[in-house]
Amino acid sequence: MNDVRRRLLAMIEADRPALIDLLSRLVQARSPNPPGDTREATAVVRGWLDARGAPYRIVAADATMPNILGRFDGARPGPHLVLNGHIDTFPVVSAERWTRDPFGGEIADGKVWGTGCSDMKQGTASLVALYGWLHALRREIGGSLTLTAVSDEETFGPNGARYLVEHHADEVLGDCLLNAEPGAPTTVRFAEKSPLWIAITIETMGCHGADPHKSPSATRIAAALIDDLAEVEHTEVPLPAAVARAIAAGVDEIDRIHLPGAAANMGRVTLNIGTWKGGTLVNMLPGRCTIEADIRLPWGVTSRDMIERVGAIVTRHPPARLQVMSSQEPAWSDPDHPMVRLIRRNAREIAGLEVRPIPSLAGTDSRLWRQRGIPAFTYGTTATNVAMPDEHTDVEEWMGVVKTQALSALDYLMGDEST
Amino acid sequence: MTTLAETLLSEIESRREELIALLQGFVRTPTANPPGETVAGAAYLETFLKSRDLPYRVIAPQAHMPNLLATFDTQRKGRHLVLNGHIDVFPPGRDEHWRHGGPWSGTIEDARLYGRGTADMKCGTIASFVTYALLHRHRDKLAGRLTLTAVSDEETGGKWGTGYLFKHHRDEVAGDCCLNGEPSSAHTVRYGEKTPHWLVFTIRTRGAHGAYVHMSDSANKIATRLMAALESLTELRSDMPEAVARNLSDAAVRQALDDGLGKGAADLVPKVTLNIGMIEGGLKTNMIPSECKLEADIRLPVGVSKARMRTEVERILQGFPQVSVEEVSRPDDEANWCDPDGEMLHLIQDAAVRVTGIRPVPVITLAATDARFWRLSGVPAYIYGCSPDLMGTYDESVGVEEFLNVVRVHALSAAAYLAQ
Repeated sequence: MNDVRRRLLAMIEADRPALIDLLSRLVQARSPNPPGDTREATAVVRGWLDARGAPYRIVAADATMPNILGRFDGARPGPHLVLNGHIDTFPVVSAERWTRDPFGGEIADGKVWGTGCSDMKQGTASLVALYGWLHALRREIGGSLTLTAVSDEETFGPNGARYLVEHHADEVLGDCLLNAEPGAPTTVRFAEKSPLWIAITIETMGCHGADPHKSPSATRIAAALIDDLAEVEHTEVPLPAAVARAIAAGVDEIDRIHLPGAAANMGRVTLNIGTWKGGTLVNMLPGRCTIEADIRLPWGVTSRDMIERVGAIVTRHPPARLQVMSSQEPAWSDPDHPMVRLIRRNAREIAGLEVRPIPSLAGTDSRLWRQRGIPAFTYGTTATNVAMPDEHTDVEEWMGVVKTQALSALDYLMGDEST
Repeated sequence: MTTLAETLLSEIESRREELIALLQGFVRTPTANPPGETVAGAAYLETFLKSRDLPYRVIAPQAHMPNLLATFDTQRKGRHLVLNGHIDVFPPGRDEHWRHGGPWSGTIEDARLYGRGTADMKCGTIASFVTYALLHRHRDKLAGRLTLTAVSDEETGGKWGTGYLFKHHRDEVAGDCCLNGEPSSAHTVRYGEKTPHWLVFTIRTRGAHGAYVHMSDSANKIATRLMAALESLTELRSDMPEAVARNLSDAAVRQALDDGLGKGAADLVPKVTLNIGMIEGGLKTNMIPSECKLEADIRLPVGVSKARMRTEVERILQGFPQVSVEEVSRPDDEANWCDPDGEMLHLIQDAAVRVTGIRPVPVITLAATDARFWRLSGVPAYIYGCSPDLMGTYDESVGVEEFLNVVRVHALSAAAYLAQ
């Protein structure tokens, strides 16, 4: 191991208590979204960067949702790596079922506890710290490093990473993105399925419930429509070969992390009827019914084709009207990209872990880079009770991830492609 | 020699204005239920009885929901006819939507009398009172006994009204036959009714993030399967009594049902109907719904009992371990009927032909009335009243002549039933 790598690992070891404290204080600085006010948590991040003299500025489309944008260049030209994490969290889930204070940031049993601890204050803390450490080593490394610590991720909102890639693309896109959302330290995520959200409204005349001969029932039409919509799950998917290979190689690990069945769902279209509401009174025949569905598209399927397919199904049920609430294209990065190889090598070296590149079922801000052609990878701790009571981060596992992320970023900037 | 029928008709004609004013005064006395406060409405009817020296009792298990019970015996043995009407009416809704001076105006315009409850069923209840008073005056020409019941709490189930009378004063109110003036239209006499069977199904699953569809069943997807399975209930064959089956296949009856209730109604009267009135599943687009509630309005025809329906639903639910069910309709009700070829039915038809020129056909209907208490006790109960088209609407009203015809038909048919 060369000298710079050794010094980086030494800095991490020395900062270990400070890093745990940073995570604890970040959890205490509550930032649930909605409403998404992250000013207090952002101040904690700023404190860390200021104390280490690492440069950054605040970019805020909404004053209550500031984003941190920092950049420095190494001693010689080289690749531009971008780090990305979010500061906002899910709202507290089932506060009464927590056994710890959801905003206590308590450090106990080798874990840090609290809302947003796993998703993803641990990751944001580790990337902020990494930015500071590499800044301290800037005279000995090449390339450029950008830090984006953003707000407004949990609701796919417009004021966070989306604002940065839309308004500051030249600064934040770079050559490669490293994101630290939780998943599992045995996997690096190189792709995400893409959500297509639709709403369907069905309106009929409606009438008294004892006279079903007088009007078609909006609810009954909805039931038939929902049954028909299941067809989208049988869409033929021309998976890119690299993605198909990665899924096939990762089946056991995917099913272990996300429970059996997850691997099968990776490569196909899935449909969730999220909400279904109809009628006003039990004894009235419903004249109005609404459905909201979350369709997840794998790679090789475009949202345009899917919207067309859904539209054709909806047309079979004349009173139904389709509205697309949100759509985006599924994107993927090369599962054999140098960053993936570096993460695999370093995880093996640091934590003895065999890491597999796999796609992800759920979404992160990484997609915004992938959709713009920038290779983007997510590597983080195990998702532990995310959006559930007693969310936490295991400190030992986290430290292994922090070191793996740090060495991989360093190696990437040094031009080590691990070939 | 003048017949009793001619005498009754001429007395009604001579008191025409008085009868209209009587209904008008009753309509002007608000008796909306809920809340069901009917003391003033009962007092109005008591004044009618007192001023004619007709004895009565107030039976009020709930002080604010009194029931009136009056009865007289003739000098001769005979049958016991019971007249039944309710005092309470639907709530008026929003006052500003009422034309014709508000829900309790009793305004008469273009020969129609307007107000909440005119059709359902102050017209019919007044017909019962007038019939009772007329027949009391001529009791020397009659045989048997006549009882008058005016009840509260009909619109909300009858527990403190007719239901209470049947439970605690059964010998006095059951009688041999019941005549009721709920709306029916001049074209039909109602001899039976389907019964609502309302079920709330709750589907519970684990739930999960919407991208992880392998981690939990979807309560909404189970709901579509459940709805499809429940459809089989509409295929249940009714053990239709022969007299009812004969009635329902009569072309004139089928025509009257389609005319009165909309095309296709005749086909549905003998069938179980299913309406999924309400559905509510899921919290958010990108979460797998962990709960879905489905409210079903099932209507049971004559010949399908609630017990049988419960067994059928249980059988279906064996395939749905995630589903629980609760009945929210009155569990003791049943679809009910009496003889569509009974004597009183013919007496009503004859009286109607004489008064209106129209022979009303016997039909089974969808709305629930207090007549079910008699029918379920084995006592025939027939309904003849004004048009039901406007009941519960902001223009609820009854034609003045239509009201007088209901009075006439009730008086004539009751007198014929109690004739010596």
